[in-house]
Amino acid sequence: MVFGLELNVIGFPGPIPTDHFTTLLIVSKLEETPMFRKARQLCIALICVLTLTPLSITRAETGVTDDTILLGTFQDLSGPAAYIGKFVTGIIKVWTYMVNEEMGGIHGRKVKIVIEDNKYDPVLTKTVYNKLVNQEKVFALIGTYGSSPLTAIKADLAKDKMLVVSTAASTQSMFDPPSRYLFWYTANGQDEGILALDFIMNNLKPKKFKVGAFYQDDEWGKDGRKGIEMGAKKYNLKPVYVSYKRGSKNLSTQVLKLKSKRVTHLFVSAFATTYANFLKEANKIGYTPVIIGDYVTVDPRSFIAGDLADGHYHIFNHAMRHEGVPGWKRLERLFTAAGAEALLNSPLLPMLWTPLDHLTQALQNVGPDLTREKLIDAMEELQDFDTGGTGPIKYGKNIRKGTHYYRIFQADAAKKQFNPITDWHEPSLVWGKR
Amino acid sequence: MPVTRFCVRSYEQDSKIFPSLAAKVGLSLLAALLFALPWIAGKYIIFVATVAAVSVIGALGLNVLTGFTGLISLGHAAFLGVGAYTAAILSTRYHLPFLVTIPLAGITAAMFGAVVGIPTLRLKGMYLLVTTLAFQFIVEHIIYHWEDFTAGDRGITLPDPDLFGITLDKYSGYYYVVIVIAVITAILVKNLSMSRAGRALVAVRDRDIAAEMIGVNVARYKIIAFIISSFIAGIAGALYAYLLGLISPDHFTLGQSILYVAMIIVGGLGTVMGSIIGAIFMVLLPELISLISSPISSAYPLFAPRMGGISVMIYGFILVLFLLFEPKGIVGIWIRIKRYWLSWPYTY
Repeated sequence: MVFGLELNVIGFPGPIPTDHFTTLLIVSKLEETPMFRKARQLCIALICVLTLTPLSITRAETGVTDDTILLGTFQDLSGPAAYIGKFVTGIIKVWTYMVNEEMGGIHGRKVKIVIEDNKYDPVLTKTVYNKLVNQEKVFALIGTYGSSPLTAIKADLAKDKMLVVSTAASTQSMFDPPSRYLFWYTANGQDEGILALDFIMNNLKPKKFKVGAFYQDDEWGKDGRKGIEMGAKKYNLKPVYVSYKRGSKNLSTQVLKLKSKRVTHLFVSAFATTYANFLKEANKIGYTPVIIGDYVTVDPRSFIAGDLADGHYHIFNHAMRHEGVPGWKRLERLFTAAGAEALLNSPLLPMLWTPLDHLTQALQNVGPDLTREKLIDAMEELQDFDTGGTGPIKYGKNIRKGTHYYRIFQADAAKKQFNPITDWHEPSLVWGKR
Repeated sequence: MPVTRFCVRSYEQDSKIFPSLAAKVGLSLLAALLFALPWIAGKYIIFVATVAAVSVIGALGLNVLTGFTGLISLGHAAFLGVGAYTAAILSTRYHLPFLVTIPLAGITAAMFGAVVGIPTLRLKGMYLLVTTLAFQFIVEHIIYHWEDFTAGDRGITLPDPDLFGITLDKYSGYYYVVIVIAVITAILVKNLSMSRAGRALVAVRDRDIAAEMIGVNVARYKIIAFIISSFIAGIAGALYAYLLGLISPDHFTLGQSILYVAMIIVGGLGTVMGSIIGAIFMVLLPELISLISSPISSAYPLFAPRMGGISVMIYGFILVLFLLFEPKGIVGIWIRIKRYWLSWPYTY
C-alpha cells in the first residue's frame, strides 16, 4: 500500500514495497480507494498548478510584472545633444512622478525607467538598445529622439517587436512607411514646407515675390525642402534652394546667394542659434526677407538676434505657455510639484510630454492584461485625446504620424514670445494624399 | 616597441608566435571562453563582444601603420568607412554574398590606402597627421553628399550576412565569424611584425635615414604599411557594417578615428597584444562605467545628465592616467608583471 494505492506490477508478486515507488511507471492496474481518490485529486490539482504556472509566466509580457512596468529610454547625456537629453530625462522624471505618485500606478503597476546614455551616437545607440531589450528586458522605449540614433535601430525594432512611444526624430522615414512598433510625434518637414507656401499664398498674398528655402543639408532639412517643392508645384512657383552644413557658423555665403537671387519670402529650417546667426548675417548686408521658420526656430534662443527676430513667422504644432490653455496649467502644476519648474520655459515641452500623456491613457485603456500588441491597438483606437489645448495628437490603424495640425505664430521680440496668428490647420496637401 | 620577449636563446625560439607554454595555455583558455560565450552570455554581451572583436581588427590595422611604421593617422575611420560602404553597396546593389564583399571591401580600402600613401611619402609628424585628417574629411564629405551612391545620411541597410547560403545569426554565427577573422588578423599581423617586412617597417619608424642606408626601401615600405593597414581597416569596416545592419556617415567620423588612436596608445603602441587589449579596453570601458552610472541615472533621472558628464570625465581621466603613468599602455603593465614573476624572488 502506497498512499492508499494497492499496486500490482507486472511480474512483481504481491504489493510492491514503498521503496519501489518509482516503479509506478510500470503500474498495470490500480485499485481505487477513498484515499487514492483524494491523492488523485491532489495530483490533478498539483499538475494543474505546475502546468499553468509556467504557462502564465511565459504568457506574461516582457517587462511587465504584477506591480511594475519596466520602460527604457536612451538619452544623450554626454554627447552633442546633451541639452536635449537633460530636458527629456527631466520630463520623464515628472511623468514617472505623475504615474507613480499622483495616480498610484496604472492598474496596480508602477512604472520604472531604465535610462542609458547613447551620446547621440548611432553605434552606441545600437549597443544600449541591445542592453535595454536583451539584458534589462524592457516593455517599451519612451522619449526617444534623433534621426541617426533611431535610424540605426529601426530595423531591430521591427525584428524584436519592440515598441517605441514615441520618437521625436524629425525625419519622414520614421513614419513613412509606417512601422507597427514605432510611433512618431513631432513636426514634419514636408508639412512645414507646404504650410509655409500655403501661408505665403493664402494669408500674406504678396504681389511681387520670390520664395526660397534655407535648410540644413541633412534628412531633416531635406524633408523641409521636399515640402517646399511639393507646395511650389501646387502654386506653380520656382523657389531658390540654399543649404548649409550642420554646425556651420559662417552663413555669409548663403545669405549673399539668397539676396542675389532676390528671395523675398524664405522658409528657414534651422536650429534657433543658427537661425539667430542667419538673421544677424542678413542684417549685415541689409537683406530683410519675410521669414517663415520651422518648429525648431520656436525657441527662446531665436531672440538672441534681438529685434531682428521680431515680426517673423514660425510654424508650430503646440500651444504656448503664455496662452494659458488648461493643458499648460496642468503642466505647470505637475512640473512644479515634481520640482522641475525650469523645464516649463521651453515651448517644446508639450512635444515630448504629449506622447507620454497619450501613453498613460492607452495603458489605462488596455486594462490589467497588458501586452505590447494590446497597447498598440489601444493607441490606435485612442481618438480625440484631450491634451488640454497644448496640441493635438492622433494615431490610427497603420498611421504612426501623430502630428497633423499646426498653427502659424509671429515672433514678438520685445516680449520674447511667439503669438498664434492662425487657427489649427493641416497643410493643403495632406500627408498620404500628396 | 616594448620588449615583450625574455631569455630568447635561439632563432627558432625567437621566431615562434607563441613562445611559451603559458602563452599557449592562456590563449587556449581564452579561445575556449570565446567559443562558449554565446552559450553563457546574453545577446547584449555577445553584441558588445562582437563590437570589441571588430575594433580589435581595426586597431590591428592602425597599429601596422602607426605602431610599427610610425605614420600617425587620423583618417583610420575613413578607411573603415570605405570598406563598410563597399560591402554595403556590393551586397545591396549587386547582391554579392558576404564572403565576396568582405575581401572586396578590404581591397577597395587598400587601393584608397595606396592613393593616400603616395603623397605622404615626403610627410612626417604633424604634416602627415593633417593629410590623413584631410582624407577623413574628404571621405566624410563624399559619403554625405554623393547620395545616389551612398544614400547620404539616410544610410544603407545591409542584408543579414550569410555563409554558403545560411544566414548568420547576429548573436551566434556572426559572432564566430568575426572572432575567427580577428584571430586570423592577429596571427597575420604578429607574423608580419616578426618577418623581414615587419622589421623593415620598424626600422622606418625608428630611423628612416638609417633604414634607407641599410637597404630598406623607405618609400615602398611606407606605401606597404598604408596598404596593409587600410586593407585590414576595410575588412573591419565591412564586418562593422554587417554587424550594425545599417551604415550612415555618422558611423565613420573623426571621433571614431581618434578612438582608434586611443585604442593603440592605451593598449600599447607597436604590439599586437597592445592593439587587442586596447581595443577591448576602449570598447568595454564605457560599458563598465555605465554599469555604475545607469542605475544611478535610472533611479534619479534629474541627476542623469550630470551622470553622463561624470562618465565622460572618468573615461577621460583613465586615459590621461594611462598616458601619464604608463605610456607603454596596458601591455607595459603586463610586461612589468611578467618580469617581476620571471625574476622572483629577486627584484631584477
